[in-house]
Amino acid sequence: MIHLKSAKRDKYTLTDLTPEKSTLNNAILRSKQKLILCSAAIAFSIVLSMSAFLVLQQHLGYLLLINTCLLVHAWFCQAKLAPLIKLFIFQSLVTIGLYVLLYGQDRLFEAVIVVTRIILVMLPSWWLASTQSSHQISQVLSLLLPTKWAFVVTTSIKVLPFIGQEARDIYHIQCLRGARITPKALMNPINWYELVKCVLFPLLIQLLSLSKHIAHSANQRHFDKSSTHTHWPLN
Amino acid sequence: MTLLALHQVELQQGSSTDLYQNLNLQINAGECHCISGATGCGKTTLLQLMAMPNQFNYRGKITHSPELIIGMIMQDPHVQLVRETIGAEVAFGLENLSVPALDMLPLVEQALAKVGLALPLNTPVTHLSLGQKYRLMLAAQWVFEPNLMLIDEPWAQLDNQGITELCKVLTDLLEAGVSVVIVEHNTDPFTDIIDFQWQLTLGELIPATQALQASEPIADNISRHTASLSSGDNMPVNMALQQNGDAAAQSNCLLTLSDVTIRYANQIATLHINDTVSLHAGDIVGLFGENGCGKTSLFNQIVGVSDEYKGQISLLGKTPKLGLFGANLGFLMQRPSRQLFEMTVLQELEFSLKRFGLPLTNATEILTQLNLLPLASHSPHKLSYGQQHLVALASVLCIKPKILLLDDPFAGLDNHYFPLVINALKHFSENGGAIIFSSHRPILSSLLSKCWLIEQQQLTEHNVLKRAS
Amino acid sequence: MNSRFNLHHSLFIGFCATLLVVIKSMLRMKLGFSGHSMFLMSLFYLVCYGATNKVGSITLCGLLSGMLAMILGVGKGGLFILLKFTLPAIAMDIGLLFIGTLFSLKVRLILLALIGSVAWALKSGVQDFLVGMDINIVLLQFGINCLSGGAFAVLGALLVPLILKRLDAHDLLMKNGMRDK
Repeated sequence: MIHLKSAKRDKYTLTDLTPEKSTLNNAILRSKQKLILCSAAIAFSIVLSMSAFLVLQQHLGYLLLINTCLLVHAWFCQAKLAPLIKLFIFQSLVTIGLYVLLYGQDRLFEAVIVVTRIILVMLPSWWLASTQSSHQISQVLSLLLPTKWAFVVTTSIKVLPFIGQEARDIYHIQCLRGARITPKALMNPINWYELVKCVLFPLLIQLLSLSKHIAHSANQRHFDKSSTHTHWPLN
Repeated sequence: MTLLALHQVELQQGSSTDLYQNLNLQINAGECHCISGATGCGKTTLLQLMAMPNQFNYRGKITHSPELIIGMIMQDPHVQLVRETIGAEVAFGLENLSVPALDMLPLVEQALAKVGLALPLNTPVTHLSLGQKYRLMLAAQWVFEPNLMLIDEPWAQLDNQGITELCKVLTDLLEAGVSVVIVEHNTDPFTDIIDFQWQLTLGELIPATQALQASEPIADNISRHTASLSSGDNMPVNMALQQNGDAAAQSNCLLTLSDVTIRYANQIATLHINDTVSLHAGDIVGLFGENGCGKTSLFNQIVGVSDEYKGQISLLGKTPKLGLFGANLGFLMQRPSRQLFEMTVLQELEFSLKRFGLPLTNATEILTQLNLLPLASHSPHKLSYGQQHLVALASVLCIKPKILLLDDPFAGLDNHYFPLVINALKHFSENGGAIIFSSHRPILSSLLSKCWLIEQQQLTEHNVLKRAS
Repeated sequence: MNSRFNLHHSLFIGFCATLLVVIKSMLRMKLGFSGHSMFLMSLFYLVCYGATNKVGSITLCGLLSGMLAMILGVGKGGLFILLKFTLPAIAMDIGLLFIGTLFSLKVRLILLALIGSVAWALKSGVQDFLVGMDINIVLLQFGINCLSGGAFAVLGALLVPLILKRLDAHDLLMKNGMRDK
């Protein structure tokens, strides 16, 4: 275990109010606030989703009202409504269709209630995903998870664009090498194995080596040395 | 004071071969050592062995002084930068040492100042240039206040600007009494700071002056390391703007780019080609520009992988689209080893030949030419980096395309593989193939028919005045 | 379970989960066919199991993909996407406890894929039941999901031995990775 000489030399406290430091203080406070807000939003969305299962039919109206507010809020935050509408149409068609098929017109109202409840279960999650940044949500989760798994989650998000780019690059290069993996060729399931063989397989090799190297460099920076870790205050 | 010493160290790699036979090295405070050697001779492993000897099953003696604190910088920034902002990145090590949150701030600021990265702490890492990322990695190590810094092959990936900045920081560190070990096959840019130069050959460290006499001469007339730091960023050869109107050559024109503007994914930076630039059969064109100037992006437009451009690109008379050109177009991406997937080297080459319906004998022909025939039945994933690189190149060459695009094909290639690649490319071009290759510094001037230079987001075509060969 | 996976294993599982979520978000709605996500799930979960050869790796991969999907807002996001990824994984791991070293690798993987798809269909079934859907319709949907999910899952599982065989041939499996006998 190494000890830092300068850690004791230059203590920094929140009361130190030179102009530069006060902006830093503000930044720290702001990131704390954001974190608390995001935790609250996660808890709220979970409770709201759950209550869609539990509330009595006569109280469903209140829930609908709250969810409408969320919808408006998300809409103001420029969320994409398309996935929600798709889900709504898909659910309505399947559920109402099945009810009509089995029972005719009689239990249509029941079917509508069921569809409404399913939408009310999903809507808070959609609201959460559209109004909170993925960075914030991962920060909250990191505080809840054990250090190692928090690191795995944040690193996975960090390397996500890299993995995506790597997947695209390998796909393109194999297309250029003549592999039968163009969207048209993939209509034929026989070519799926080619996709697995010449795109997924090299990709997995990349992931194996990436994980090995990241683990190596994290451990070189003392990640595995202690069981307790502190957190950088600025998010 | 001796910080670290290796005494008669031996290490086996895998089950059979000896990687090191008799390594001896002593590093004292404030010294700068540089270790060179061929690709696959175990330079990187040597750094890891020095830093974490207990993870290896070695024989001999490795002594760490009680005061020793090691900082280590590996090759790939992707692997080492684990956080999203520069402050959090430097603080990662402090988090692991359970330094209280508020104590981190001054330490992080000091470390960033030390490497000359005085940016706001919440600057996203993705906004940094590669050179800045490299210095960020230094800061992330500096925060532990190391007295020995191990650095793995900085030259291959940094452009000249990045190398200059790195040298400045390293000079500061050495003056502050920190020792530095650099592993690097091109030592030229670091001659001013190096105290001891070693060559890692046949599992032993020999002082470089002796080693140089023994080493084989590099292929003639190929200036591999042309861009020295002292000459700044100037082109190493005399160049003149090309005089247009070469009417005779228009007939076998394979590629033209006219009035092209490329928008990157982040929509901000663009690359402009104001005039018309073209590529003819038998041409070898060097595409040069600093890291992040849009070389890869330009290649992607030409092969039809992406179409984020305005203007006109005509490849073999058609607008580029993925899969349109079949065996007429060969493209080697950066880190080409990632395209390998077959069970043997030969199968890897035969894959494209089968798909394009070409004769399978092409594969053995190219393997012979590249001295790879002994590896034909080997697994491509068990080969060294340089060998994998060559196999990937062979897999593109064997389809005998009309145009060959190579994105940074010489990165990480040592003096053994470098001439082999050059000869293959020469041979290809003499048979009427056209080549464009990119690099972040101007190289191989004697080989080029012309060069495309990217400066301040503008691509311009230059003629290369060939030296008498 | 935490200490049984070193950082290298953990990160590999995490990256597999990331790749799963990335591909799923790319394919989303393109196929529009119920159960196709089981193909990806069984493929990646079983690759994790094959590469690390440890009970618990599937659950971890499931949990991580669920969390990543939740963080990134893939699918409908929220707690339910977490359950959607995690429940089949837990079921597969529990199944693994029983069939451990029985059968050949291929049969074992297919069985695990089937167990996973039943759990996947069960999760939707329970959810539908809780919102008050008629039991006959719940059972009907459960049956359809089991069949379509199972078919896709088996397809995914069949690819896994091929991948493992290749990784092994190139000496790329981690020290305790699974080797087909």
